[in-house]
Amino acid sequence: MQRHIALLIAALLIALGAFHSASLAAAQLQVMVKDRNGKPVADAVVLALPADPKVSLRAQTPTESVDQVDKQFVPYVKVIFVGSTIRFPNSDNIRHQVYSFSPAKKFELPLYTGAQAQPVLFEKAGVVVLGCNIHDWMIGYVYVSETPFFAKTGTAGTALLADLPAGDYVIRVWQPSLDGSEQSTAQRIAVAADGTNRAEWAIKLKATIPVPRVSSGSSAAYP
Amino acid sequence: MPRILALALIAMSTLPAPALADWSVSAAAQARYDDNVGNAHDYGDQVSDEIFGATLSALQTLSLSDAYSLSAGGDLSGEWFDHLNGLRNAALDGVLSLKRKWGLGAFAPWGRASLSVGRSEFDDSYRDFTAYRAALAAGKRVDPRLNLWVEYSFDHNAAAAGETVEPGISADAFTANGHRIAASMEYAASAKIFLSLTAFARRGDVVSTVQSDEAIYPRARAIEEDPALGEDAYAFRVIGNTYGIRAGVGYAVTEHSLLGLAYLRARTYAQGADYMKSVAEINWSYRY
Repeated sequence: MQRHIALLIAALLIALGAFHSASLAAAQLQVMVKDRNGKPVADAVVLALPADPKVSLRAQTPTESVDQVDKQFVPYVKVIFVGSTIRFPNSDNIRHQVYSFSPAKKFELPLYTGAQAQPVLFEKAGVVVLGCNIHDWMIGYVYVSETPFFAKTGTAGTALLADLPAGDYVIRVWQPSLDGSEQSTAQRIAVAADGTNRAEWAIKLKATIPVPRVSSGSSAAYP
Repeated sequence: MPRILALALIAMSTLPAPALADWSVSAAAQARYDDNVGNAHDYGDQVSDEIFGATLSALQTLSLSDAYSLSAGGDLSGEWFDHLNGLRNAALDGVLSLKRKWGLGAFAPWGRASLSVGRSEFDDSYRDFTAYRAALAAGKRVDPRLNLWVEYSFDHNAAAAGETVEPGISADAFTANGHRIAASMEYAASAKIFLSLTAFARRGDVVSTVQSDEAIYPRARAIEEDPALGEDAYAFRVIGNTYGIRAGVGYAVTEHSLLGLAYLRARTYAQGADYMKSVAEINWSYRY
């Protein structure tokens, strides 16, 4: 009798283990982000926050890079996991002075060329707007994500979240021109273990006016 | 004019090229219609013309610190008058400016002091002059759409005197001084369309060219023959106050180039030799 009970417990443990493995199996989620006119939206950040608060959000925090090329930040939008650091190399042959006033990270890198600037640690989640004090039109964004499950859309409007543990998630989308709050884009979806899960988001964008690089009044303001 | 081109080549060949300086190279072209080229009071004396111009500019900006930047550069420009051949000219200008920003970023207020010296040479060389200009400017970008700035400048054009026309009166009509203030705004209606408006006032010497005007004689500080505007034309230098406005609209063809339309309307009060001027312009500029 005791032997039967032991076998039963063992079978149950194996079954539970298999179920647990299945629930943690890596899945993929491909998200298509469009605007209200059905056009693909590039540079949209897609975040997946596990609905189960017990899911660990620990991940590596590598040193990332945001370059400056032809007096522009490259990439325009950079997504990192909170606690990561970013280097800001300068590929132009002139000096740049990178700064941010954003509450998520205030910093300033005094005038520099090449790779002289110290990496910057982003220890707080949120949106960090980058600028250059010399070239007013330069603008870039660092999205510091509270979850390690994130991706960014390309010109086709798609973002692929790979190695996503199967389960329920709250998906949010953010883009520099998003009209409304990031929270308003939140939707809960279930990510199955098998194959590639697909989802589509429609977001409302507002017209944004960047500081112009060339304009009729530029002679007064620049240099 | 060949001398200007030679000077330009010499100046360009001697420009330093420090790796840390920010080069700004630009080119501009314009076509404009001026309804009163000679600034004449009477309708019968007014001469209009179409003018085609081009400018090449090179400016080197060196960031001295977080707050200060120093710029040095030059412009080479030319104007081709469709009918008034004697006014066709070439000019070479050099400029040095020091800019300060109070704070970081695109929205920090700024101030700038600049000095420039230029030489303009005309097909009718009696109009040649050397231009000196000192300017103070300040501005602030209120938001990404709206940019505001003001400027005060003093200008002095030094020309050679011509042959005496009226004994006791200088024949140096093209040597002139003036003080000018201007307030400008630029508004981005969209990411590609810019509206600009400048209001200005100037107090100083103005040169008015007429066939013959007895009324202007007693007010003239200098009189000089001005055959570029007609066989019997005389240039009179008088003191005047000019008030004007310039409105423009620009379209950003690319990230580096702008196509624009502008209209200027100015009125000068010059002790009875008052005159109006309207200039319509189409322009294109490219900056790298």
